[in-house]
Amino acid sequence: MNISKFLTLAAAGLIAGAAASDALAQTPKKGGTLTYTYQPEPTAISTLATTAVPVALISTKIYDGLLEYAGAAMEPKPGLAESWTVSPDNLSYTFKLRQGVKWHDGKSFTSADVKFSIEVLALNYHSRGKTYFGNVTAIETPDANTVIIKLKEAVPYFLKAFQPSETPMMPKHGFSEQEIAEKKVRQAKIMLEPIGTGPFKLKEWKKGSHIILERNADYWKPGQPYLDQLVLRILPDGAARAIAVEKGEVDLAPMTALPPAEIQRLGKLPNLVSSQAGSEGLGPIMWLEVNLRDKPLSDLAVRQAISMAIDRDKLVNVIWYGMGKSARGPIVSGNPNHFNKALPKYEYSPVKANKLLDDAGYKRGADGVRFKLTQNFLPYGEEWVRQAEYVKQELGKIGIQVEIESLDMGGWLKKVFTDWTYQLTSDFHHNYSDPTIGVQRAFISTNIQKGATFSNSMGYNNPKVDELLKKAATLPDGPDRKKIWDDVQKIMHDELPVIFLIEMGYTHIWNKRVKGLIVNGISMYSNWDSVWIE
Amino acid sequence: MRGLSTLWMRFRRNRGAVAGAVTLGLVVAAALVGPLLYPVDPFDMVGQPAQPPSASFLLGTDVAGRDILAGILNGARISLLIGVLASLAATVVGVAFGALAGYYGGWVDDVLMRVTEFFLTIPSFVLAVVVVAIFQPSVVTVTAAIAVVSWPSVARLARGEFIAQRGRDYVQGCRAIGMPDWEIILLQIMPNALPPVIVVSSLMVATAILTESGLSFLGLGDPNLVSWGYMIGVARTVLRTSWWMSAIPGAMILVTVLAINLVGEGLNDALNPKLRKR
Repeated sequence: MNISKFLTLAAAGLIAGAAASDALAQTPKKGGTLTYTYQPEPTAISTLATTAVPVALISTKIYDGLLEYAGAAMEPKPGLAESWTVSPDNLSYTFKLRQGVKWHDGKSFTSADVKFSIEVLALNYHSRGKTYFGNVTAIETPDANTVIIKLKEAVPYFLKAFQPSETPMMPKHGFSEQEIAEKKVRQAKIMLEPIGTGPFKLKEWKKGSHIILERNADYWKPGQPYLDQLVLRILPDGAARAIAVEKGEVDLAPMTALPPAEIQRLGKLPNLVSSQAGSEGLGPIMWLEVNLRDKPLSDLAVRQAISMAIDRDKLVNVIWYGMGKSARGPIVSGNPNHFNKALPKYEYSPVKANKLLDDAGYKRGADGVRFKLTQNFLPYGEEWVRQAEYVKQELGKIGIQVEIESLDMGGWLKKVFTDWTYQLTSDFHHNYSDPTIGVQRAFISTNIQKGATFSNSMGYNNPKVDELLKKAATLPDGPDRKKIWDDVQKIMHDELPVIFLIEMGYTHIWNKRVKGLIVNGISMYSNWDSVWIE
Repeated sequence: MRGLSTLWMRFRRNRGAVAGAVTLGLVVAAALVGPLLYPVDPFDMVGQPAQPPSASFLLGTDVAGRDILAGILNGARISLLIGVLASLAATVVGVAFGALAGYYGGWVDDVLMRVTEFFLTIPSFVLAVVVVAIFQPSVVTVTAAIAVVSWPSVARLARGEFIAQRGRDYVQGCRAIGMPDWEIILLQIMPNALPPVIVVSSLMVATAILTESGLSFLGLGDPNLVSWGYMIGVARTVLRTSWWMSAIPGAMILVTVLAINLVGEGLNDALNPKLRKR
């Protein structure tokens, strides 16, 4: 089994310590409401619709995965599957399901649901579904509580696939035959009216205002969840979010949900905790996504010039208040197993960028403009607008006139991943615990699929990279696999399928009365069944 | 020329109006020559973010390390430009509607006024937001949206003036000698109906600047241009830590709108002297 070690021992100790003091020092109290805020509002409640952060945050409380994970290293633990065995050749996984688990509508959870969730849903509709389950040859369900998954080739990270955001267990009876037959899964009714097995169920969704989840009294863990209610408050204004957290109206602002300036200010207040722990399994990497189908952007010299025109250090320090590091390639440098340490830092030199464009034959017009591009930005808050403005400004200096276009979440997803009509846009992906999971999906050519969000929207197609990615997907971790990843990173560093910008740092801010929040490397994407309020 | 000097005499009697005119003149001058004298790009990241005013940055820097002084000077251009253009457009459309409705009366009046009332019944700022949201924010759409919500009041006023004038002896006289309608409207009645309209449209510039600021504050301004409302919108996330960042453009909006209102008052005194004696 491949357990990734995403952080240094010191950090691991810290988290283990924090978790221990949270979980052991006090006995959890039942009752109460946890209110959190994140911008923008989710577009659906299922990561099959899109794996965007706001969607993953809320859907993981309603839909459980087959397994649970412990600690920053994400060790698999029994969950909906009580136990599992792996054949010696790593080609067959047998899961024994917990008996008596009920869906929120009272029907029983069975092996047929598991088979359906993997074969019909995750494989076809989740942006990483093919990565996890592309090698599956058969899923057998000899009885209602047994699932046997057969693989063509070994998948080293296979047990990582059963996280709630990655392979949510969804009810077969929750979809109509028509929705499945017409491939309308992302538009299915259940996307807005979820039926899960998780600790919370949907009570009310008032668009533009709030979502209320209530305690699932029939949850399979006796006595849990501790919270009566979980509320998402939608506050589009960053300052309003910060004040709500400061005043205690909101208990939690996960994953840098507040403007950086406010994070700095609030982090010093005695009633709040500000922490970067609990996201070790994510590894967010941010880039400027480029549509390689478009004429000037398909030219490597243009992409190099864009890359050279942006001062990544300044971007981190000014726009993001120092939260993050300049990126060097598709894998975050905090990943000790897979990051290629030989990658140089990207150079910042507007002079060289100008010369590159001159040499490539992009002449400046009378107004100093070589060509025009449009830029979109991720609608996740004000910093993204500031970053778009900064990029526009810097590109203007090398003669690329950029028009910024502002879209809401739905419009942005459609333009970038369905219509492919964007030219530049900010975007970020999570590396997850293994680069085959988090990196491959954005760059492998088989993932050039309309409508699949956070996939290869650029139209990047490099047969060499495809081949390396496929090889890495089946090799166990070791020097051979490391070599492949080193090569992939080198190629992408030079070829710039996207303009790699920043390794982001997630800061979560919560009220001290909230306990038990940090449990593993995907704490905010965990189901919060052991979170409680003092 | 004598007409103009009488106007100025009357205008000058209102001290507030003179002060307003001087202030407005300064703002206009800043908008015209400011960016030339202080050629810093308002979108350039020139220093550390959120610096208070200092010798190196007279008005400090904003959340993205951009020079606030440069933003104020360039923003003055956009605010004034949109204010004046939107007000002009609204005046032209409003006067056209009002003149036709008032002069012809009858079914023409009914049709045109129902259309006008349709616009008057929708809260103007909400309508502006909707228009901009539908047509993507840009200078043109923002100006058009403000004009769309502003013209009905001009139309109502112009209609009233035309109704009052159309029965007068000089109009009857014109009709008697066979003057065509367009000539009567444009050359005979218009000069008499225009003074109150000028006052209203000068005040409308102030409203237009406020509306533009409101739209920009909400993120519905032209994303490629700096305006004062945009600057406040950017600064609102750090209101608790860097209040001056929103206070400076806020003060600029206040001063400019006040100045335009004072000038409008003065124009009213100058153009409608009889009202003043009342």
